[in-house]
Amino acid sequence: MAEIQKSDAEIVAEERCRWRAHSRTIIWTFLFWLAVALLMVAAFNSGIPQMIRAWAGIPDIVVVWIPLIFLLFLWRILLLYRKRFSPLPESLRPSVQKRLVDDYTRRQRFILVAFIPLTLLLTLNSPETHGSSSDASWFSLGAFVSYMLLAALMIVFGPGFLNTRFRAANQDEASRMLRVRSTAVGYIAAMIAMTADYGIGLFAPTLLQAAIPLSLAAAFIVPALYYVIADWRASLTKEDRDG
Amino acid sequence: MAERRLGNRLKDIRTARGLTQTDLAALVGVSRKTINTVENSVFIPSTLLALALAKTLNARVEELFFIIGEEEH
Repeated sequence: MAEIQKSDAEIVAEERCRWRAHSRTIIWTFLFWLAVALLMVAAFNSGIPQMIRAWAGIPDIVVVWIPLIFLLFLWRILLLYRKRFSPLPESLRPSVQKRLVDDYTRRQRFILVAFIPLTLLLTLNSPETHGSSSDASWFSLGAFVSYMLLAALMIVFGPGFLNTRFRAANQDEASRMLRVRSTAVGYIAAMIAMTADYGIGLFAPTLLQAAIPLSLAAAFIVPALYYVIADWRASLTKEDRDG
Repeated sequence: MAERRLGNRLKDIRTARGLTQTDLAALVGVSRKTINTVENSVFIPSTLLALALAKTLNARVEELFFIIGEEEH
């Protein structure tokens, strides 16, 4: 059977479709298990289980194990899912791999750039940093939208590590190096922020409630900004840097 | 002991082969930024990448990379 030769662009387009399908599956799986968990919480708190257990003579130990059985079931679903969405990255041409890496790093940049204003908005909306929020209803609305956007972005982009090809693209050495350095910067920023919080707690305790959300925001925004700037600088050649 | 740093002749060999950074990145399967940052000695590439670069450029790893600050024996 003659093999159909596809161009790099066609393969990349197919891969993007797979990634989108991957994201959709993650969202539906997440929502399904969230609903199952909520139903279980509701069921176990309603008093009905006791009646059923008493009627059917189910021992307590079985009830304790039910959530674990659900977790095992979830794990099995994830394994099946990985099998379904995990073609071999080695089968990709290097030129395709390069395009996928570019696509992935573009997504990552977008996420980070989107997270910075969302984090700022959430921090500003905090009653401790903003004061009374009763006179600023748009702030609450903004906070709600920010939370929803953050959650959606985390769900859509976050679990990419489950996809083998996504992980392969994630292993690009430049972006890996940038992530390591950003993590180090984030660690230093978090340490400085925590030390500042301790200092404020000692010398100006009344300001501590406002300082904590700000330090949390700094611990995220500083490494995110570092990543975005370093990523941009990494694309500059030596001639560009020298001007 | 002198500090050891990794130098490279990647840019010279790449241009001698008539390849741009983008061309080389597509041949190796990495981003152009990776090639650019290796050329600028921003970070030390992994053994895997060094071997892949050497194979693609039809050169030995020692031709591409060398240690700065180490006395030759």
